[in-house]
Amino acid sequence: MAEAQVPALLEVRGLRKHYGGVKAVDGCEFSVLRGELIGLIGPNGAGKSTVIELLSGLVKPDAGTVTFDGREIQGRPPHKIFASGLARCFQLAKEWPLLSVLENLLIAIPPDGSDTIRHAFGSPRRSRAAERAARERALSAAEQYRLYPLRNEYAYTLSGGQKRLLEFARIALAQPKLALLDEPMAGVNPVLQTQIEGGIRSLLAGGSTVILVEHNLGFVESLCDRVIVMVAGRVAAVGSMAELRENTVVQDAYLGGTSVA
Amino acid sequence: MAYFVTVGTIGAITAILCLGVNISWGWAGQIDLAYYAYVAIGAYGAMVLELPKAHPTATTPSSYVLGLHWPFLPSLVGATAFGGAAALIVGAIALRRLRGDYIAIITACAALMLTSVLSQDDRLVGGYIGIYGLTQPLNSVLKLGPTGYSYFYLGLCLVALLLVYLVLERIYRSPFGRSLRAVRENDLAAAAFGRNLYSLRLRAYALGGAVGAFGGALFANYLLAWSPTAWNILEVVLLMSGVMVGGRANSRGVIIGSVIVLSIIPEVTRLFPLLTSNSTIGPSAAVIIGASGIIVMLRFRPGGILKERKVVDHSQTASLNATSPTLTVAERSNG
Ligand SMILES: Nc1ncnc2c1ncn2[C@@H]1O[C@H](COP(=O)(O)OP(=O)(O)OP(=O)(O)O)[C@@H](O)[C@H]1O
Ligand SMILES: [Mg+2]
Repeated sequence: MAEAQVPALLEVRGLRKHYGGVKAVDGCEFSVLRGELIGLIGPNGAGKSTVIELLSGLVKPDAGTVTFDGREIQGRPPHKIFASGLARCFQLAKEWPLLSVLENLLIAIPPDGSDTIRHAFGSPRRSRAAERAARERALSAAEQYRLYPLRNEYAYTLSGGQKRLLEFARIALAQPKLALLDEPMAGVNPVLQTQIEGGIRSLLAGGSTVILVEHNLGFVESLCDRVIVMVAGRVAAVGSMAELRENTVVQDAYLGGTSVA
Repeated sequence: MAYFVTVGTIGAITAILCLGVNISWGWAGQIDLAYYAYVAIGAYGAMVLELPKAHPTATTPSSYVLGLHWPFLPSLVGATAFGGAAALIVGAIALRRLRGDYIAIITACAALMLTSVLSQDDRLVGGYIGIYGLTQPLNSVLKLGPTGYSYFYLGLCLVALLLVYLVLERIYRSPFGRSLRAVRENDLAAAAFGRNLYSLRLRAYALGGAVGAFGGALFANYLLAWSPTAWNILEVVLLMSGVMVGGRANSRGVIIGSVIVLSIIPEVTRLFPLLTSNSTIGPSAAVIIGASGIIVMLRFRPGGILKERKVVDHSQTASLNATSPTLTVAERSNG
């Protein structure tokens, strides 16, 4: 009898990206199971954000394979990777400054081929209904993340925290199979952090898998069953937060504990 | 009066050309120095479609391709398609790399190549001499006198301008326009949210080329002739300054800027030489005054007369799920 083996949603093997002499990512390997919320932690400069750049296709890896949902995606253009169900947020919010907040949210909803010149005319009933549905989804996301009163403001006028909310709301609207969240709660006040925490849980409830990069280990502990620790471009350990606290390698490299040898 | 009709007709055509430049420059944020070539392609294209087969004789030495003897309106459509197709080819090469300076240089080179081929090879579109001999479009049916016809053509160009304006406004607010503006505002984020940068930019570029060719076709049908000296790369810069003074990415602003920079300033400064008896100082004073006018306007209003407009949603919180919200465009407060 063959073992019932559930294939991982994401399988990263030998991923490498060097910037000159800086080994940002250096033989990184891990896998993520379907429906999992996995933490990705590590000291500043460990390569966490670079891994996200590589997975989302915005930066091409020097080497390695990324298998997502059964297909190798390394080196593919970012829009195709997004279309295959992988969405990421940015550590430094990248809003579209001269678009309204609502338009920012609307861009995050996959266009399904409706953003062509032809669709601007003739307005086939189907595409108009799709646009209306998209707008309603965007508006309710705006309401959920307290952006509704700001929906008609230019995105550049938002505060830093509001931009983080917009950043997260875009991911929520994209409803990806895999969401890569790069410190979504940094710089957001505690009330809204709870809001985003709820957002992460509803992403999971909606069937998404999530990789969460976060420096607040309290959050990581309460949200993630499994945590990957990255140090110097590679994975140093994987396990539950409790296990990692016992791990001397992790303690030395990240948790700052003076391990008793 | 005839003077104002002439200025108005050329002004309307120029405004159409500015709206075309605004697509790649204002909406997509790329500098297209090949734009004047699409204007020329539209002009030549309309003529070789409208004119009968070329019979170079002593009286009409011009020789050219096609000569299909099509009616005016189909020729206009055909010329527009030529411009769009040419822009598609140039854009396919120029937009491969996404750096702005790269795009500017590649488009300039492509346009210089194209125009030198057109002016050197006199079998294509009459070489250096260009093409002439077109008859006033639609007048075989209308049978208007010279004055009546000039009013008619002015009206036609104004209607064309309105049409181009409405079409472009609609595209600007559509999901396509929105995606394009997102690409301009932050291309990496747009790519991360599923936008194919190359395809969006290329489609916008071809649309701009088509609008340029449409304007060029109207121009050729007004002048009834076209030659390589009619347009050069400097015209693109003038069109761009019209767009900049009026307000990039704001169609109404672009029309206003076009009228100020390309109609009012040249016409007013044209009068200066008449005020002085010195025949050399006059024309250069006109250029200096016109150019400094542009510089002063941009100094005090760098964003243009009208800023890009914001797409505004008017739905109420209560009706969030009840009615479909409507999106309109509001003037961005300038201050
Ligand atoms: N575009 C780049 N060019 C040069 N070096 C880079 C680039 N991007 C990242 N690096 C370097 O790669 C290393 C890893 O950076 P990365 O942003 O992935 O770290 P991180 O784990 O996300 O850190 P943090 O927790 O501070 O966000 C750093 O040393 C950084 O300086
Ligand atoms: Mg980082």
